[in-house]
Amino acid sequence: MKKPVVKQRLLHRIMKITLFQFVLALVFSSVAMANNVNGQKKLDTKVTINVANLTLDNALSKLEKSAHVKFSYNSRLPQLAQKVSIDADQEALSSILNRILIPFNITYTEVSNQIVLQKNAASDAFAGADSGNSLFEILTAGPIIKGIVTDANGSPLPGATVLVKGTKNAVLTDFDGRFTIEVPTNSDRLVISYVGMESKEIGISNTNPTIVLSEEGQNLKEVVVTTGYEKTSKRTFTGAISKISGAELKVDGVVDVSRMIEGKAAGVTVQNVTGTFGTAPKITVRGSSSIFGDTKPLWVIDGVVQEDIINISFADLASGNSETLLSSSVAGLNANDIQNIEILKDASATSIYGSRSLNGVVVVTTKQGRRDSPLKVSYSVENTVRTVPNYSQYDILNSQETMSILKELEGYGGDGKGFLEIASSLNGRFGGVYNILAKQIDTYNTTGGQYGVRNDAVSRNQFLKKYELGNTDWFSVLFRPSITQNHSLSFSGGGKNNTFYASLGYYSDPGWTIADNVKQLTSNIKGTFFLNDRLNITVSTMGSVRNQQAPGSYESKSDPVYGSVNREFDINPFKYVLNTSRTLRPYDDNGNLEYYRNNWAPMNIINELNNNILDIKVNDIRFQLDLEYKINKHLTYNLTGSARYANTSREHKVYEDSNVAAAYKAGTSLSKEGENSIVQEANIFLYQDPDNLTAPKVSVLPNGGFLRKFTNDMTSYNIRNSVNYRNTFNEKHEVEGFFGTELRSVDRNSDNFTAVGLQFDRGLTPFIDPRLINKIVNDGDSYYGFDAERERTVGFFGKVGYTYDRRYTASLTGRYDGSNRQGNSGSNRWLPTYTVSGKWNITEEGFMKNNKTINNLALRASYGLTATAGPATNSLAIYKSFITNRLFLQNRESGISIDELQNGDLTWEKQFETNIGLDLGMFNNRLQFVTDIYRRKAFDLVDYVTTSGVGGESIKQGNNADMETKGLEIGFTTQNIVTQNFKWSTTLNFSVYDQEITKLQNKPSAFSLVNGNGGNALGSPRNAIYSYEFTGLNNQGLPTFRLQDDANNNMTAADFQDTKDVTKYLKYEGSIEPNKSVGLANTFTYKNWSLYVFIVGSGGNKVRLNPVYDSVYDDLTVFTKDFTNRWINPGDENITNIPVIADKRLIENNGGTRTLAKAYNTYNYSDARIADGDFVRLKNISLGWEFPKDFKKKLGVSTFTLKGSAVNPWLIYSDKRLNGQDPEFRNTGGVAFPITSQYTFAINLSF
Amino acid sequence: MKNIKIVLSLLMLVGISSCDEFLSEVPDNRLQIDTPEKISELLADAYPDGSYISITENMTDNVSDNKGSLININNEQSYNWELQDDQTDRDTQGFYWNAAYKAIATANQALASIKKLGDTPNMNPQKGEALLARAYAHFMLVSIWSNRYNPATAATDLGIPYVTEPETVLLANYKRNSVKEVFDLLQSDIEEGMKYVTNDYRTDYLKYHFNKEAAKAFAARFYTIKGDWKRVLELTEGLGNRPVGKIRDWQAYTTYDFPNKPIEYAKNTQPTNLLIGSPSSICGRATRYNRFAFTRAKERDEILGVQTNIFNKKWLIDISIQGASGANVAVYKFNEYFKYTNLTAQIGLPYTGVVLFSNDEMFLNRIEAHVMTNQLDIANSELEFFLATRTTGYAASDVLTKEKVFAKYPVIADEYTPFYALTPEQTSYIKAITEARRREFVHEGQRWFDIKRFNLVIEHDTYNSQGQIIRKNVLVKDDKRRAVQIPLNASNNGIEQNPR
Repeated sequence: MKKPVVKQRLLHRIMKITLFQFVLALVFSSVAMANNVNGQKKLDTKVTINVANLTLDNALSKLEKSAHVKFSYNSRLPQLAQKVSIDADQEALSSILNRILIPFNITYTEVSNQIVLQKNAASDAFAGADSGNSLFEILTAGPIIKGIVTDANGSPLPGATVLVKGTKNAVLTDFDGRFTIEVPTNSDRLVISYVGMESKEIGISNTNPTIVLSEEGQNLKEVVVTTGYEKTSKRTFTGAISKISGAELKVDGVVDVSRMIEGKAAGVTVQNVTGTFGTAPKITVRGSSSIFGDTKPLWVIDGVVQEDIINISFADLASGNSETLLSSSVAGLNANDIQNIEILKDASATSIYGSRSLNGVVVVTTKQGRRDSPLKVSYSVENTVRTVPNYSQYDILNSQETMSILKELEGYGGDGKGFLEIASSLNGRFGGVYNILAKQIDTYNTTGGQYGVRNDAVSRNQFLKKYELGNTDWFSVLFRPSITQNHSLSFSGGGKNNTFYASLGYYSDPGWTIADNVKQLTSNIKGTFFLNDRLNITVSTMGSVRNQQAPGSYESKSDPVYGSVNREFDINPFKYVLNTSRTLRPYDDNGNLEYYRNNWAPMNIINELNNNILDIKVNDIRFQLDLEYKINKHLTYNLTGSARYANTSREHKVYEDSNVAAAYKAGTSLSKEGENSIVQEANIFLYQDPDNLTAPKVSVLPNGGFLRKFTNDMTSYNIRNSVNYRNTFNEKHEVEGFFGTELRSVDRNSDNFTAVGLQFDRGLTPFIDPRLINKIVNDGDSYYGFDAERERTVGFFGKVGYTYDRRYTASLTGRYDGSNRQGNSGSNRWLPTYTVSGKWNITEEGFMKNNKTINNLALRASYGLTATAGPATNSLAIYKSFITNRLFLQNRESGISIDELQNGDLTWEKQFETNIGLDLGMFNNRLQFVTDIYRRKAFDLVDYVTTSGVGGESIKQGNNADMETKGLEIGFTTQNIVTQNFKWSTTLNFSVYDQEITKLQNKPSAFSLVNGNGGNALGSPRNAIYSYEFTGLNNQGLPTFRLQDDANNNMTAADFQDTKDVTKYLKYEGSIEPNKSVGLANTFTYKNWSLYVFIVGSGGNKVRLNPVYDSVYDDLTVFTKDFTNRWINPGDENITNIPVIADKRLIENNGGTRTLAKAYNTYNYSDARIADGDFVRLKNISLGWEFPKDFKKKLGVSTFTLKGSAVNPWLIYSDKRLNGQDPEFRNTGGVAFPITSQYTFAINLSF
Repeated sequence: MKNIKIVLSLLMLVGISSCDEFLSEVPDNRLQIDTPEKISELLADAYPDGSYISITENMTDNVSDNKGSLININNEQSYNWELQDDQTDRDTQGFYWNAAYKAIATANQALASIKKLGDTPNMNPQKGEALLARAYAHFMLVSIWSNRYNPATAATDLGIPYVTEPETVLLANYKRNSVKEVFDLLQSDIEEGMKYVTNDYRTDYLKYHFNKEAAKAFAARFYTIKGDWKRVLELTEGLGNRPVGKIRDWQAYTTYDFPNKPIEYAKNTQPTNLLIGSPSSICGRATRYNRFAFTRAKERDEILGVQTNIFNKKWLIDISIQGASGANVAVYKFNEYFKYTNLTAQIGLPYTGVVLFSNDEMFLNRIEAHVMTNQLDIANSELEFFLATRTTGYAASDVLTKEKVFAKYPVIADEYTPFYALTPEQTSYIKAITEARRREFVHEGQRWFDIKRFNLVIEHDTYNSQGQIIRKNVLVKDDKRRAVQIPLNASNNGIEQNPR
């Protein structure tokens, strides 16, 4: 394509040069020759001239003299008689000419030491008729311009179009962004365009120009802000936002976009409470404003709100339940497809989202192609390896130390604590080494004529010795440094009437542990079609398919009576390692799996992880159509329609060989270990006939296992119409208007089903013992369940903005929302929200015009009302169907219960937010500073209100609570060093807030305040954590506390369910949510090298230490190093705070195991077991190297980068009391894994 | 421009008008009460999901200090007729208050739904049940939280709020009606409910709902309290004077296995049981572990000892010795159905089967009505029949005579002081019947209502480990503590407290 053009050009040029002199003589009659001053650079000559009200003709002759140049022009040009004034002081000639000639439609070119003036043919309607001009056009020859086109970051733009204005001469830039073009004499302007970039017109005074194109709508001054609804100029935008570009956002080796935000925007905190793929981090914007409701920000992708497949609360998120794997709104979004992210924070920025904007909005804009640009193909691959954790990071005793404690617990010989004797070890529900020992003692080998182990001290110790020396490294047994791969391939480009962007991503993670793996395929296809000058349509499809495996997991349940949270059959490898004694071994002496006891049945973790698995499948597809129609120059109509279909399934497969299935047989004759009447009596997984309470319990799972299947589907539709009006009157009055309507519909369906007795190894044939269903139902469970949720909202929104003289902006936003959330009730269906805001662009003031240091200074202020639908939905009474709780099945009937009474006063949760912000740019924007202070007064928050009970509901949900948050946010971006080869830039953001619940009637229970997730109490921030005050050990080594007033002792009498003034005796520790966060990024580039160092920190929060103390320990317990300092002898209470390991007598004297366990649990929830959550973490460090240009040229690629990156390599600071416990991660088991250090090698390639 | 504006505003208009329909989509699986069947299902929840048994039984003279050391604060406070600190746990005063009003709200909702559906005769059975259920919960509330019914003071005595409409606002204000108002409303609800109530329930469900017999038993109890003996006799007519096979067959209990005895007691197949409930309660456990409980001493000396039998024979009622020191006695009445919510932690929700109305009670009320209408002969033969069925080895020679009754239950001045007058003869018979009722319903909390009705003086003492009285507490005549103090949640939210 290119070569023939060049040949033609050469031919033309030769012809033009030979004809040049002739043409000059012919056309210009009044040519005057002048001395050659300084050939090439005439137009750059600096001129000082001052003329007023002269004719153009005269002015030009004055200019000739001052600049020592010669002008050539047609003396018949009519414009020559027009009057002009010139006032220039050492100004380039070209600049002066631009000023005086362009208004007259005269162009100029420097030709062979002369400056040729010429009527602008393109804009002259009669140009075509003028034969003289057309002849000139053909015959004049011009200079050759060699330039380079780059983007704002200095990266070359290959395939940009360079067009000589007014002609059809055009070339494309090569892969280095370079071009060469000859300019005919009749033109002196080049137009450089690149789709997606703002086109630029330049003069040809510089023959080696570097043209920097900026993104569309983003002239250097006119930075664009996308609110998801509209694009508007940052100059007139009054809200507080943080913008993160795709490049800044990307963290190699991290897949979920929501985790990449951490530390990158002031006022946004991200807590990785779990790091498993598909789970969401906990994101809060400005501390969030709902107490019992949703606190997640709204995610918006390409203008459409991304609805959650499952709406889960923070407590759910921290639960480790399998549904958390569906919690990330953006798990299916490929980070490479992201153009940028904007986080809308204050009322002014978010109010267009009306009743859903209370907790902030994250707006994601994905990439699109560029018009008139060649195909660009990019490919990147990231290979990531995660480290296997090791025991040195954690506070766990090794097997020798553990065994010494176990020996102390032992009951043999009568001098120990009285535990772990044969009978209980043999028949207990759980058992470790001593269970293995007891089994050996109990085994009589008939051929050998002796017991597996003789029951005497020497033989027993002999046997235990190999476990004492076992020191199993469970991390290396269950974890592996496997390599994850993330491939991403994208195509973009565009023709005259269309643009396209298509990407395909593939992520594969073979699993950090032997129990998990992930494969995900994502695709994003976007095409824009320009039907004519006025109408364009964008059609896009975004899809993702995920297959994931996780350790089989039941849902966790809390036990508020004794103050603990537990989960049946938890086999989460991470939790397992931290909770499994190192005396146990995965394999026995012969290399076979070694089993111990869990729930009365044999258990080996490797076997269990193979036989108890969770398969997750997610299919998610979204279609979108955007239509833009320019009604006229000022008025644009937009239509956005989107549909999303997400189907997910979670299959928890419990195979026959699993410990779970075995537990359902343990103690009966079906058990592998044979019948055992003691176990049979105790085993809760066996079936007791309610009609015959004296009959022995039987197994109701003789064959097969379980398949627990959960499906969650979501269908959402969103349609939005809007018109946008923009106009400037008299260059002083900028008016902006934006109005629209939005319709939204979300359907969520979920069901779950438990297939009992499914024989996985018999072709999935069911073997159902109906009594198992009976047992499930009797235990108060159901073996299936269905649920459906339907959301319908309608919104009308509008925004009016007015800017006077670029200095003062005022803006008013309003929205009127309707929702079906309250059921078939007319009241409270509609809610208006609004914001007023203003901005003062101080830089535009006269007194700032000459200020060279400050090039941007603006003051913003906003005040407005935003809202969110709270957690309550009882605008009408809510009825729930139930089954009456009667002993016999035949007496149970289906009933309907009033779940919640009608609350006619129910309304949205709302807040007034005041925000004052300052934007400052100095030294040519090399220093940029943004700060915001805000105050949020949230009111009508849903609270649990205690009533007289006479209405029939003693605790009701109603809008009764208030909360106030005040905060400060600061962001710095500096370019510290900018030289040709070395650049250093720094970004720092910092935020802090102070939050207080100012009105709340709900009386939190002690348990809800002391447990790790915190609770809500008047006068403290949201999710505050409290502690029992530890008052030392007593002379028996048992912990004592300050308890409720009516407690009958200070040890075991804690009432976790107490709700009376609990904050009087509980000690306030702090919120579990950090209220300070800081992010510091430094980027260094030297020639082809670039280094990025990113440090994040957060603090102001408290972390509950893992509960490790209990009244009874067994041979499975993992002991921490604290245990070595425990109370052993009377008097120790003066030197230690670690309670005694209770012996049987002590337990007996203190009300038994469960009662004494309360004392230990109180200790676990006391101020002795709390730590600061402050941490500083080296989050990301990466080193990139770009291949040299010559090499890339040879390969024909435009980008070729190698990058090594480390994520979370170093926890620089955290509270020592955490002893290795991650301050962000909550070790709740189930499917939760921590975020770990990982190392990535990435290759980026594009051509 | 102009056209566009018109088109846009039209679009907006169309949008708004169709919005309401779009927004009427039901957001979740919430039910609408829109059929008579659903009203029937709603009524399954119109009975208190809590039990008054632990509260009232602990206030009676069936309970004494077993002199143990473990103290349950709820148990101790109700033993001393105090307001319990704990207002939220099951079996506390606050819990039953809330449960009763929840049942009332449900009944009111059923009535409101009936009205909304046109109040057609086909819904009369539901209407009858709803009225009776509403009356029952109010009746229990007024019996516990107000002074005894006394026509002389009823108009000024504080009753309880009588609620007849579903609540629709977050915080509604309620005032206490007077005892008279409450009783008038009760009477009208009961009488109207009796008109409509049916037995049209599945056999297995029948006794969990107000059926015809249960309604009569409830009305009989109500009119017994009011002293309307004629009406009591009318209502109990169906039992006759020898209700063979209708009252509890204690003989049969001796043959049941131990685990099955309590199950049988509240089983729907027992002919005597008329209305049974399965509320959230652990009242059965409490009989075993409470310090202030039905003790060995009470059992032997006052209630189930041979000397308490007018024929001087052993009672048929089975007991078992309970508690660590064997100081407590349990009669097999309560079976707990434990619905696990967390199998691993072994925690869940306990439900206990309890008998709310039985033929035994109705028959005893009938005997009392015969006494009060001076039909002592009938009363005597009825009482003989009743006691005979509860005596081991009862023989035809064991005849109940007036003399025996007068001797066994001599008149003590100012002991039984109901609001109506008693002749000495009546007094002895009323005492005999009241003692029979006390024995029959031991553990079940019924005794408290007799203590209130007859204004009986009782004493609750607390001992130290040496057996010395450390707290002597006497409930005198017209003691203000006979009306339990209003739960804190209610009094903190606008419900007037009882005077103290």
